[in-house]
Amino acid sequence: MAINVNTVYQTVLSILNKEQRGYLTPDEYNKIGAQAQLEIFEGYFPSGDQFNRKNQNNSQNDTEWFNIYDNVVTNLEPFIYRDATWQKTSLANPSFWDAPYWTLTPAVTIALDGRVVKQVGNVEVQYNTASSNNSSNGLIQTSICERISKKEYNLITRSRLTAPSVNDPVYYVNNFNLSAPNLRIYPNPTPSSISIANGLVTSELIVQPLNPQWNYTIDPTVGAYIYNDVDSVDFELNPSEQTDLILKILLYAGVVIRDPQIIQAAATEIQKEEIQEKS
Amino acid sequence: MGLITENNSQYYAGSQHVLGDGSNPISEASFTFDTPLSLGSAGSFANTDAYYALNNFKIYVSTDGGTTFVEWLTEYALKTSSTPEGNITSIVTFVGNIPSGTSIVVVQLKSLTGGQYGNRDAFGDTVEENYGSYSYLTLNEAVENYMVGFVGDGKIIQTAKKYDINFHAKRGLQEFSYDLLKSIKSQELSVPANLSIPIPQDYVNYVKFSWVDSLGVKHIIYPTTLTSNPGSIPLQDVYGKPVQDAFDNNIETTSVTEQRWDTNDTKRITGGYDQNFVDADVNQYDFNRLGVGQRYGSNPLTSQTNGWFTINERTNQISFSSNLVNKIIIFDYVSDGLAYDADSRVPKMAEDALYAYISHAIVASRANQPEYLVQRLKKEKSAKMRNAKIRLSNIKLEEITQVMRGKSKWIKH
Repeated sequence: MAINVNTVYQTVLSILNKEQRGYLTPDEYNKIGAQAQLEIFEGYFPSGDQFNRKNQNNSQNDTEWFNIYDNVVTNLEPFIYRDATWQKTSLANPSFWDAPYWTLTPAVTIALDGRVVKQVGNVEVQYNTASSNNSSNGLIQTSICERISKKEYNLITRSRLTAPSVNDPVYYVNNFNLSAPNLRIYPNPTPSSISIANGLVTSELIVQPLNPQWNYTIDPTVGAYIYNDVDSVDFELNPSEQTDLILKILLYAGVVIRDPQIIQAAATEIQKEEIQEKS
Repeated sequence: MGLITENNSQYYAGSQHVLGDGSNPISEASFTFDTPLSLGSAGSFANTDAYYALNNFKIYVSTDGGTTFVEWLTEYALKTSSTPEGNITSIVTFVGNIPSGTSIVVVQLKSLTGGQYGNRDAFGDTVEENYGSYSYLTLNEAVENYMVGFVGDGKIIQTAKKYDINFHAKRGLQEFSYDLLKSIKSQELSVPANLSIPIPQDYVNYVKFSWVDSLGVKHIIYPTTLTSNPGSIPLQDVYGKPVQDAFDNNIETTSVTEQRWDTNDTKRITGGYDQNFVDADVNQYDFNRLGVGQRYGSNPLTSQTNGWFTINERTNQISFSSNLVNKIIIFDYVSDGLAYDADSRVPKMAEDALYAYISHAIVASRANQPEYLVQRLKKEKSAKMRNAKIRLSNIKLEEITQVMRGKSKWIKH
């Protein structure tokens, strides 16, 4: 469920035009909409951290609907991609120090439809502990990989008490190319020469929303913009964010049309809401 | 939900039946033992395979309603998987020749008794290894439990890396192994002619050495300061200087001390009689006659006939005195609980103590932790370790009473 891009545009226009203050072109709206959506999306992370402190100091409420931390998580849900599968990739001519790394499978890349990966969450790895010469004596088990840094990896692999194992595997982000992040996982979950249960790696991802797009055609007689829902892209935020979204767009629209009153009104509304949420 | 997942037959007999539905062949059968089924090799379903003896189970099939069972030696594939909570499922997929739908398929884990199917020859100790497993949890389970119960928002430890928990859990198990757990390992060995045995692979420290008499009774062998094993025996020239070889290293020679100790007659040290009365046989006539008491004032440290041992740090072996040659000895020692996967388990009696140990270790090793919290966890750790020690000491009232009865009897006489 998303927020209709046309509904938001019409609301913004009707507020802006109330006293013939100005007009926001579709192109400006698309740019401002993308900015406002990203701002709200990025705001979930510091908010989640702040609201989680209530959990940490045992002052969070236990109600079904009014747990503010859970509400932030709910708002983030549209951007969590679950069970993303990863595939082993090796360099064409690897040097002996080039360990294999893991990239998202083509199916996931297609499903993401151009969305950028913001974070990689829990990585689950299926291991087969069979020895390389006997596929029948192993145990297939799924383990949760802990995310560590390369520095931590260098440290923990030097102690026999903390070295990664099939029960406690680790991964670090080898190269966070936004469109194609890749991971290094230890121990390597693909046992060679074992046909059953080759390492299966899955994870959760947080992806950034696609930019909204208010697509239009031009009326040949009066030259007006006519909304065309084909190729338009809705806002991907939770519908409960519609008010916030409109206020943020208005705030930027005020800047565009150089109307301090609009800026002031929108900023006051946003501030009021934030105070109510975070106090 | 109960924690036990095996039924009585799986646990005691090590067997599990799969019944056909009466019509469709049994192409696949699932077995849910706590022990994963394991084949020596992918082809060791057949008894002609070189790795057949490494299988930890046998499959039998009955086509007459369970009256007779015949071992299944034709091809099947085995796949074993574990759920995150550790429930194990082994799936046998029959290939080609498939048991009919009226058959009964049985997996019999190898047992000291050979099982109860076919030729009753499923010999091994897989079933017995699983006995008593409910009194332990694996170190991995303990760490997972700890992460769930002690780490997270609103708990004492808000966040911790799992490798940190693993480190402290393993260190805890090591410490517990040294002085809290009953993790004493033992080997029965024969003292060879060179009077030395190598230190076991997982040895950390010895508990005691005993030699076993003809009645099977143990007699403790003591360490001695009468002799020692030199760490280095350099060959000397006429000026007393060590002589070097062609690679500029000192040349080592054999130890005269050890040679003399190995060839001595220990009776010259103990003052013992020519005839050894070593069995704990109180009905032996000569044993009682010796008890008359003719050696008042002798030093018990040297006048016992059980022999001595030394730990030779130069050769990393344990050396015994010459009177112990060819004797059967029992070597009790402690390991650290981490040497083998099977060792890495925690008695449930000490589970809480391990959690307390980890909590204290984590908080105490962090900066900016309130000192009252560190102290509280320290006290909690000590108390729980003490409790665990008492629990594992197996102090039973009836057993103490029995010992006390013996004492009072002695006093009455």
